[in-house]
Parts: sequence; C-alpha cells; structure tokens
Amino acid sequence: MTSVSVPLNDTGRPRVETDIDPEVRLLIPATSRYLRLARLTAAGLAGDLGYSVDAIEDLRIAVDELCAAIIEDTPNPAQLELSYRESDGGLVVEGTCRARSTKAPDLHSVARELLNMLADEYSIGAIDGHRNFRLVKYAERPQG
Amino acid sequence: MSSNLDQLRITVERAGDRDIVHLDGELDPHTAPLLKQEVDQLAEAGSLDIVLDLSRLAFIDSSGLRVVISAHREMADRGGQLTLRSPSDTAQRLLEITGLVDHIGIVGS
Repeated sequence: MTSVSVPLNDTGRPRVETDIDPEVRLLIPATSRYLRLARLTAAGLAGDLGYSVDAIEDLRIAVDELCAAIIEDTPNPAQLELSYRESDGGLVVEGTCRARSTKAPDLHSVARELLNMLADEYSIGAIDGHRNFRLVKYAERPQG
Repeated sequence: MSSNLDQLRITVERAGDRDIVHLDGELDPHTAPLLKQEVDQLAEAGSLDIVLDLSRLAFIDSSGLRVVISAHREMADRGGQLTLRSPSDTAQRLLEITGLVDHIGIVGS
C-alpha cells in the first residue's frame, strides 16, 4: 500500500511547493478584448501550483468577473494592471485601473452570485481615482 | 452563415423551423454582444425555435449567461422558445451553479 502525506499550511490548506516567481505582473489595455489574457495568466499559474481543473475553472471565471467589473468605467485609453502571487497555499490576484467615477463598481447579481460561489475571498472597491479588486483562490483539498 | 469576433465563432444552421446557433470559443463581455445581436436578428426574422449549441463553448461568464437569460425570456414573450443543447463541461457547471438548469430547457447534456 502506498500512502501519500500532504503537508498542510497554517490554514489547513495543502501546502504547494512551487518554482513560480513570487509575483507575476500583467499590464493590458482596460478593455474587454484583453480579458482573455487575464484569464489565461491565472489559469497558467494555478496549473503550475497544482490546482484541480475545477479550481482553475473557478479562478478563470472569478478573475474575468472582477476584471470586467473594474474596467466598466475607465477613461479611454486606460491600462488594467494585474498582479498574481502565491500566498499561503492560495493564489492571490489583485487588479487596478483608473476610473472616471470614485464609486465602487456595482456587481451584477449574476456576477455576484458566481463570485460568492467560486472565489474563496474577494473584495472590490474604488480609491484615489482607481477601481481595484483582490481575489484569493485556494487549491482544493485532495480527495480521500 | 457565420461570423467571428476574435475568440468566438458563431454559426447558424437552419433545420426545418429551427435555428441552431453553434458557439465555438469563449463567451465573455467582449463576445457576448455578438451572440445577442445574432439571436436578436433571428427573432426579428420571425424565428420561434432557437437552439444554442454549447458543446464547443470553452468559457462562459455572467455576461454570457445574461444574454442567454435575456434571449430565453424574449423568445418566451414572443411565443417561441430558446433551448440549450449539449453544454460543454464548463457551461454545464455554470448552468448548475446558477440554477438555470431548472429554468431553461437543455437537451443532450
């Protein structure tokens, strides 16, 4: 019989050893045309971290929803700045872009429902003429 | 008839009185308006039976779901119907999460 021991971090999540750089930054035009790049980057990094297919899919959708929400009110042209880093067994994605309004973005009810189901943690807001978000998605605990 | 917008290819096939709209690629805020336009055109042309084939849909988010929900409602208001066919794994998962599986007809899942 073979046994596999999965090391856990302080939060009880599987600790994933990874060679990825501490932080990956992505700067793209703040239009819907480039959201695909934000999703692809998230999926690639989560794959490197050993995330399950479902967790990667959750992350792609969550990143897409939050990016779409903060670029809705950008002056033209504007840049969407994204950072991705592994922290304590989770992948943290943060995004920011300039906005015309100082109001926090309103998430559509369907988007909010998806984020509540798919993200482990998220926040979205506005400060100093910028809209921003923070998203955390953990690798799923292995079955058994 | 087909149209492209970067990552989404839409092909419409006429089968009897039914219009089958094949979606191949990603349905997101950039491409969702193209699907809305296509469905609106079919409805305005008098189609009362539209099927969205989701078997090759690689990604869908809330913007795509909203187009599907809105098109389903508009077709019902016109006395027609909109059905989803063979959703891909990613589409099926979102339809289940949002509970749309209980409200929109799905065949071949």
